[in-house]
Parts: sequence; structure tokens; C-alpha cells
Amino acid sequence: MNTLNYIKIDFLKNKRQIILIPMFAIFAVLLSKNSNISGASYAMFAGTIVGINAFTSEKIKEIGFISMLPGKNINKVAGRFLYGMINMVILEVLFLALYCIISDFSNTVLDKEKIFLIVLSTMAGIVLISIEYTIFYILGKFKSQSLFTFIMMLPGMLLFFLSVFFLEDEKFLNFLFTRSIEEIYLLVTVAFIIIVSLCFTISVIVVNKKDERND
Amino acid sequence: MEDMLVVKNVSKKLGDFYLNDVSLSLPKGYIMGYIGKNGAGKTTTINIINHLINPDCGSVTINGISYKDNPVLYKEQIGYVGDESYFPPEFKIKDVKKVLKMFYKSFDEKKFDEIVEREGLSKDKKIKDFSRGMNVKLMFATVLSRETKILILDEATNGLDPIAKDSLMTTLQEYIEDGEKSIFFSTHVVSDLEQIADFVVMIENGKLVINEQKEELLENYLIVKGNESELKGLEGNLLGKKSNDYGFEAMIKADCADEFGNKFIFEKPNIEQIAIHLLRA
Amino acid sequence: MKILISNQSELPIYSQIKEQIKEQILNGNIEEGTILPSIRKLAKEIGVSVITTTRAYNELEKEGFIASMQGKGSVVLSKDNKILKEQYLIRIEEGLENAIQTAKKIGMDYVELEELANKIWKGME
Repeated sequence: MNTLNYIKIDFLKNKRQIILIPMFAIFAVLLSKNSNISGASYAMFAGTIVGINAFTSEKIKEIGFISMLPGKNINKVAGRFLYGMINMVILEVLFLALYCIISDFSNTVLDKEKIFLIVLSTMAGIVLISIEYTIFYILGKFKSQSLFTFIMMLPGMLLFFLSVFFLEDEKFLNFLFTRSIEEIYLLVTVAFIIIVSLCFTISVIVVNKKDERND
Repeated sequence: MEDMLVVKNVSKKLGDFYLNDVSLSLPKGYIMGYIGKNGAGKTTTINIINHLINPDCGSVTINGISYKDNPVLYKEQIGYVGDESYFPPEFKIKDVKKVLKMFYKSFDEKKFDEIVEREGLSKDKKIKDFSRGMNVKLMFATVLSRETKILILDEATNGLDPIAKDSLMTTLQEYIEDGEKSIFFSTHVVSDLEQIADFVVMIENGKLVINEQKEELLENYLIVKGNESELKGLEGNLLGKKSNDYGFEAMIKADCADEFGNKFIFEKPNIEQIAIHLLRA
Repeated sequence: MKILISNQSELPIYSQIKEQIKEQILNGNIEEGTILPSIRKLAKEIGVSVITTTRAYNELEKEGFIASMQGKGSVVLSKDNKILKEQYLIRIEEGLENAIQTAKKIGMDYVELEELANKIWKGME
């Protein structure tokens, strides 16, 4: 299907990035020695850096070729979102794999907590990148390139403020601690699905309305 | 004659520029030349035809299909060549081939390889290292090695040497030889079109000022030269008048030539001269 | 069939094509029954627009030199064709008109002209 083809194009265009993934995974593992949370957060942000490159590497003149390819906008956007997700998942899986190998040597146990953290960071990473992608689509692929540092920071800041807000809230903390891990998984998954679907839908609507070329 | 490309009442506002109520139709099997100064609206029109820009109003159909009807088929029918390379600069020819195979069902790999071989395009260089001429040849290789219904060329001959240009003209005529496909060809070098264009459309400041068959256009105008003093009362007929110390030169509509009489010299203009005089007027 | 187009000529291109084909039909270089190249093929070969060759062929057909047949192309008609004979007649009249006009301009009278015509006719036999 065309969506798969669009994913392939993104990988073909951004071949160089492949090197970054193992590099980031290794750093994440190293960071995990200090604290699991910093390792997982690092992996999450690193994944967004890899994913966002799909937008920052686009050149205006490529429109004549890429945008003229016969494919529906919905497939194009889906391909881009999946590209971001796949990169995130690869990074996190590599991180997990490396972590397992290293923990065999240093006798640290891979427990439920660590797995939960990695799954959480993967989902959070995908949410982050979905929001960033949507911002890119809304502001315009090329105008956004100069703003991209800001766009990278935005979801991170959002997440930070939200987490501070929620984690300070007693009612929320109570609510959390009285849930079983299965319920938390469910909650996180539902939030994940809602946010990512929303981002995808908004992106498709925006792409259908917007002009590709503004010279 | 069935129409291949129909543009109906298309308007678009882009900042200060306003593309104003553009309508044209190009029948199957013919070549339409689209001329105008840089900035007059040629590229905007083409962006709308390619559906890279949405018009504020109006419609475009290619072979009877609009983008809304079938976005995939619409784009499949178009072979677009622009004035600069549109391939990702880091790509090599094999990467371009991969993408073409993925998206175009009618892509003929053998034909593509033949053209690449014939034009001597380097398989090892990255697109960013291609010369301008090689870029144009590669763009044409990609559109000619698959089935299209219309070629849309936007200043595609810029940067071609005369021999390559001549060879391209022949290729374009071969493309329409079966009478089923058309070419929409924008350029600011009017002489490129003098020979092979069947229809001429000219845009100035967002509005069409010429839109007719080339033969009829050529018959509608005459260049008139003579002395200013003989003009008495005929100035109103002159388009794009240019005077010097020895006399004047202007264009008139052919049917008022009789009013001028034999104190003047008349010449048949070519398309370039018609365009220049209309722009001057 | 030979066609040479001049961009400098007074005549529009379709006219040049038409006249040159006409000429070759009239002096037998293109024989009756020959199928002319298709409009599009001719346009491609000499590098002009399709509409130009279309017009040339249309006018040749109107004047009775060729007829287009479904699927086969345009075929050269017989010189015995009545319309063709009319064409020849028109040419003769044109030639005579030219000669008479010029004669009058230089003050030649009819008798002198007739003598000249006789001389030339005999010289061609």
C-alpha cells in the first residue's frame, strides 16, 4: 500500500540517520547506570530527534518530485507518522536489548519497573513526536524549519509542566497510587491512542487544506 | 477535438499577486505554449494545475478527471518537469528508480535505463553533483519512461544547450504523435515555441492577454513601420509603438491595415514580436 | 516528397507546405494514389506544429488535390479530377492577368502581347 511506500521514502532520504540510533541507544544505556528514569527519558527525547529529521531534511525543491507522486494525503501523513514511530520503537528496543546484555554482565535485574519505564518512554516519545509533527504540518513544513528548535522544546516543556502540575496534585497522586499496574497501563494506552489519533487527524485535515507551494 | 486539460475560471490570491479568472483548454494531441514575463503568473498557474496549490475558485480537469475525483490517477497522468532539479540532492539514480518503481505502476525500468545510458547520466554521482543539463535530462527520463497523458513543463528548457534543446523538441513532437497526449509548456523564451506550439497563451499580471491557436494569432497582427508624420489620426490603432530618429514601429490588428495605405511598410510578426508589442502596449 | 520551409518568407508556413505539395502534385513528382505522410508525422519531421500541417492538408483537400480516407491517411487524387482542372485554370488566368497588367504598365498593346505569347509558345514546343 502507498503508506508503506511513503515510509520507505523517508528511510531512503534519511539514510544517514541510521547511525544515530545505536549511538543514542548506547548513551541511554550509559545514563541508565545513574538512574533508570534519566536513561528512559533520554531514549524518549533521542527518538524525537531522529523522527523530526524527516521534516527538517525536506527541501523546497523536492516538492516537484515527492509531492507529485501519485498518493493520497492520508497515506502520506500516515507514512510520516509511522516513520517517526518506527524509529522510536527501534531506538527503544535497541536500548532494551543493549540494557539486557549489559545487565547480564553487571548482575542488575530487568524487572517489571524497568520494562514499564521503557514502554512508557516509548509511548511518551511517540506522543511527543506526534505533537511535533502536527505542529510542523500546521505551521508549514518549510517555515517550521527555522522554528524547529522551538518546536522541539515545546512538547518537552509541555510535558514537564504537565507532569509537575499533576505530580503536585494530591488527588491525582492518590488516584495513581491506588491503581494497579494493569490499570495504569490501560490509562496510559488510552491517553496515547487518543492523543496520537487526534494529532494524526488534525494533520490530515491540515495537509488537505494547505497549499504545498507558496512561492 | 477532445480536451485533455481544462482550466476554468481559476483565481488565486497570493500576497500582492492575484491570478485573475484564468481559463484555457488544451485538446488531446496538441502543444500549448504558455508565455509571460517572470512573475506574471505562469508558475502559479502550473502549481494549480499540478494541484500543489488550491485555487480560490475555479476548476481544473485533466482527461476529464479532477483531483477531487481521483487524486492518485490525477497525479499519475501528469509528467512534470520544472526548471531546477526536484530530486532529493543526496539521491543517486538508483534511489530515484526505486521511488519510481514504488509509486508508478506504468514505470518502464528498461526504458528508463536506456535513456540514462543514452544521455550518459552518471550512475555513481549524487543528484547534487549533477550539472544543470544532466538534471533536465534526468527529469525527462523519469517522465518519459512511464505512461502519462500530459507533460507539464515549467521553464524546462532553461540551461539546455542548443543541440540538447533541438533534440528535446523532437522528443516532444514524438510524444504527441499518437494524438492522444498533450504538452503544456511554459517558457519565457518565446522562440522555443515558434515552431512547435499549436496554441499560444500569454499571461500578464495575472490575466490572460493571448489565448488562441498559433496560426490565427499570427494572422491577426501586422508590424507597421513608417514616418510619424504620416500617421494622422491612425495612432489609436497602434500597439506597442516605438519611435526613433528615423521613424516609428508598432503593431496593428491585421484587419485595419487597409486604413494605413501604402506610405507604410508592413511585416508579418512572429510570436515573440506579438508578445513584445502587447506587453509594451 | 520534398518540403523546405523558410522562416523569412512572406507566406505563412502552412501556405508554404500547401504550395510545395501542390507544386509536386502538379508536375508529377508526387504521383496520383500516393498516400501522404500523416499530419502528425509530417509535423514532427519538418519540426512545425500539428495545427500547421493540419491546415495545409485541409486546404489541399478543399482544393481537390487530396482526399482523406478513414484509417488510411491522405491520398493524392487524380490529375484528371475536375476540381484539379479548375486549379490549373486558375493558375493560367493568374499568369495571364500578371502578364497583361505588366504589359499595360509599360504601355505594350494587345497585338504586341499576342506576338510575344506566340513566340514563347513556339519556343517551348
